[in-house]
Amino acid sequence: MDAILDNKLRNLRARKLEQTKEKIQKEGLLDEDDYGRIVPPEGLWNIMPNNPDGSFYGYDAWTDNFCSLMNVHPVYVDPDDAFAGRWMYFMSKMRKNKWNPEYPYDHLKPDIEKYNIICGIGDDAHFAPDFRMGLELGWGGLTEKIEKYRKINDTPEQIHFYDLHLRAIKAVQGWILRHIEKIESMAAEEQDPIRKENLLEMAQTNRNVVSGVPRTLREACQWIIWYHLASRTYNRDGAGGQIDSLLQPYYEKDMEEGRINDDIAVYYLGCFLINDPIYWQLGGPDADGKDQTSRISFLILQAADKINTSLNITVRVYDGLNKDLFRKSVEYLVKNRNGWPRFSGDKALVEGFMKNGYSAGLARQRIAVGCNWMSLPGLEYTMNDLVKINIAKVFEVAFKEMTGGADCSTDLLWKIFSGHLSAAVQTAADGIRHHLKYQKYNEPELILNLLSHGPIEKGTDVSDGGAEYYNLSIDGAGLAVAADSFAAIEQRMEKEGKLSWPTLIESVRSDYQNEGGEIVRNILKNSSHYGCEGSIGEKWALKIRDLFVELIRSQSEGRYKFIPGFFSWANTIAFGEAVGATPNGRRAGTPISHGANPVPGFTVDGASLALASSIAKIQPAYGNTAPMQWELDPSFAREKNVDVICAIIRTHTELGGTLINVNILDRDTLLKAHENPAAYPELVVRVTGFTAYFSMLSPRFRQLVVDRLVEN
Amino acid sequence: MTKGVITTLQRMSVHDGPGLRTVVFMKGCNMRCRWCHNPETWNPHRQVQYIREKCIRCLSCAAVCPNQVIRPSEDGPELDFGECRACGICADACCTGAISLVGREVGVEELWNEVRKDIPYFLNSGGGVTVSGGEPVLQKDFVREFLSVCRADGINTAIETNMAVKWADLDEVSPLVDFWMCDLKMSDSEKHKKWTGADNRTVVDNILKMAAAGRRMTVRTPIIPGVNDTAGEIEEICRLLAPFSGTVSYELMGFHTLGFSKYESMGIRNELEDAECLPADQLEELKKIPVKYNL
Repeated sequence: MDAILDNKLRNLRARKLEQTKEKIQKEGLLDEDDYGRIVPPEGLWNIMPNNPDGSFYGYDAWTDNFCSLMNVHPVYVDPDDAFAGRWMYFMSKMRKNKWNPEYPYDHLKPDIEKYNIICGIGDDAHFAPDFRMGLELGWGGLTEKIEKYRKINDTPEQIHFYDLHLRAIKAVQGWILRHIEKIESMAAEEQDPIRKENLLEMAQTNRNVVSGVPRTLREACQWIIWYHLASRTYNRDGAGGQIDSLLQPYYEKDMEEGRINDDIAVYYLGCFLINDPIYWQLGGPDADGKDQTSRISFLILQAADKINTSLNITVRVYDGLNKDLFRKSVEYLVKNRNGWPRFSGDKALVEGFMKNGYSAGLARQRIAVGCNWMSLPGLEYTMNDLVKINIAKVFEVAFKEMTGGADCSTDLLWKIFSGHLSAAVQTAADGIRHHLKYQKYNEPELILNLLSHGPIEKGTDVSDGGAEYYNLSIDGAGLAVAADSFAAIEQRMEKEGKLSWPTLIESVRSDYQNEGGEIVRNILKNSSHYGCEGSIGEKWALKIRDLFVELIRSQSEGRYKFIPGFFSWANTIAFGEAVGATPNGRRAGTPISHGANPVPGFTVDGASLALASSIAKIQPAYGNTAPMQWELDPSFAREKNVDVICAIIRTHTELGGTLINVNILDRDTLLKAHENPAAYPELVVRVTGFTAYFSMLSPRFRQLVVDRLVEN
Repeated sequence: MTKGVITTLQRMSVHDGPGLRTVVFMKGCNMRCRWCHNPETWNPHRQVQYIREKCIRCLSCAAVCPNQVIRPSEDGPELDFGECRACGICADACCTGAISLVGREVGVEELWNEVRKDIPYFLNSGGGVTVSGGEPVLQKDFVREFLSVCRADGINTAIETNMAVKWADLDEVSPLVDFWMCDLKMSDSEKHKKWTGADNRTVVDNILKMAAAGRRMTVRTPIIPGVNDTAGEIEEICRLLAPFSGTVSYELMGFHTLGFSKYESMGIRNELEDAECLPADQLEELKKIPVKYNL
């Protein structure tokens, strides 16, 4: 690569590490994604509440707050960067409460608490904008579109709806204009001719996209960045899109017209990727089944390799995927060991989504754009990754109920468990319905409405009927804890007769602190595990899966389709804290199993293949994911084994797998970093669906990552 | 159907032939290589294994042993391996898996059912099944039947053998094997006998016959510090194999101590207990020699 451009990317990467360090110093640790956000200046802006509870709700308040923030939001220009702008404020997180108290859901709260449900009421974003629409219209075109429909849908409420969106666009444009002023003044003062030229081009790029339609690769990237930064600021929306297809026409036109070469393209793409670790997809079929891999897919990987930050790129694996792109992506995974890229399984995702009554063409467009989730850009409202049922907690409730009675058996336990799981699913689904009914009065999706097909056309919020489809996600968490608990009871008590019910009940009640409790715990812990093919544990996991899927699906009605998945995100610790000791030998308060994964240490041999096969088999199979969280042994993850790693990924997807998140972590490095995280500022781990700087995680979360690695 | 005795299956191996492989470790060996990292495969019969690190000192094992060969102590159970009859009652009583039985009699169908679950990984990686040990050819009838089943499903087959077996037995198995991995541990027969318990004349004869028959084969030498780690040793083997450089490849393997904890767990004396791993640069230097011979 051109040495000057290479050096610029190095500078940006160093700056990024400094910014992360500053964020940790000033804001403390964060068990979440890096988001690309930087620290705002102290005291510059605060939210403007419109409710006595100190929070703000509804269209007007969200627009007022957003526009007020945009008006003062600091500008960010780095002369080494091709693009302007960074985001600084978690506007949605700065509220004291996230749900408008005028729309209470007290009737749901007892069961939400009882089953430890994350209900998602008042949560936002987690569906995908259609960036292609934005690139085709630009801010000016979006304004014209709103004005057009303002004339058609002309009730006072709708006119107000449109006016607020116009205000939001103007506020973003104002922010861009302030950047242009800053870039121009910096260019005027810049002595270094290369930097000066870059700043002048950056200013022109921004002048071209403030209203106009992007026409070059640089303009297209800058437009996406502005939309994304605005949306992040508004409510943390981090959804991406099919980035290679989105940028391909601009790249090819620039090349044809001699504006850029591949080095410049990689530089632009590096700057683009370092701006924010958005969830982008590479490769995979278009609506007609044709692979979307092109030259720029490779350049995106190359750029990602150059910056090598906490990236969230997903490669869509299927029969037609360009073999070189697939291999290259695994080479980078093994080379950098930074948790990127991830791999999604097209076959199962498409076949599963079609079972909801959709066409193959539509299903192929439902791509990896979020943490664990797929979405149809601009076409659906999903609540992806927002609603979770702690299945381990549901098990605990059932176990306590049964053991409080006279009879005990796995048959009876299953019957009671089924009833409670049904009640938990009902509560979660009712929570979603409540959210859909009132979310517009709570937190309308002002920015995501702009790049959705429907809200502007219909004059109504995307959460309120504006979207084309409503595919509503409910995830189960802690599957393995429940399955292994059933299995341990069946094996040790009913099949082998090794333990008596009173012994089990007392041991679990006392968290295995009773006399002989440790022996009982080990007997249970070393019982059959989900994750081992053909095991009793697997039998129970599949039984729970079938019930869970049936219960979730039965909630579907009219436009609302409910789709099951297995995912716990970063909630394994909090979910675990809510659950006492369980009959699989797990101690009270310790983390629950991760998503669809078996418990750590479930098998001693061939764990990767057992994992890949089991998780492929456990899929709910309606188009949402049950990711395979793969802690890959660093002694195995070497260049010479790239082909066999490709084979495992490919096989998992062929067997039914939907998403693979990979960590390749050296045990010694991780242990040292756990002791002194500041000394390892570049260490990135894939916590779940998202990557994070290890140094940004809290000690207990770092411990979780360490335990997961050591036990596997 | 013939039964075989195995110690374990190892899934996802990338060191025992091409692609992802499941390795079947047969129990029973006719050599006693002092550096062996699978000493649990020497004895053809069932044995007890005790892994101290897994033990929580509950002493349930001592309480149930019908032959009183497990003595309770403060450090946990002390097993008299020599007197143990491997009845397995202690293993059944052990709650952590610290005590277990090594050696399982399996039928071909049972083994195949365990192996076949990884067929999709074999096919996507160009891998398959490797029969290792111990010395697998000592159970040739079982191995032959098992490999026939693998072949019938189109699965690639490989064998790891010490070659110290009858040529007729090798010849019988040979049509069912896609790939051979044969050990030639040192060129000098007396020295070979001293370190492995068997001289190498049969080994060399069989390797040469196998090579002459055009079988696809990798000959391997584990490089043991102070035993066979000289250029002269390697040169000699290279000269022996050089005429077959088209079909035979030659691989040097670095000595490591990863399997040493098994000696203690099986109650076997480890004569190389204090040995050090082979330095990586020394191995790299020696690996240049076969290249000179196109091996």
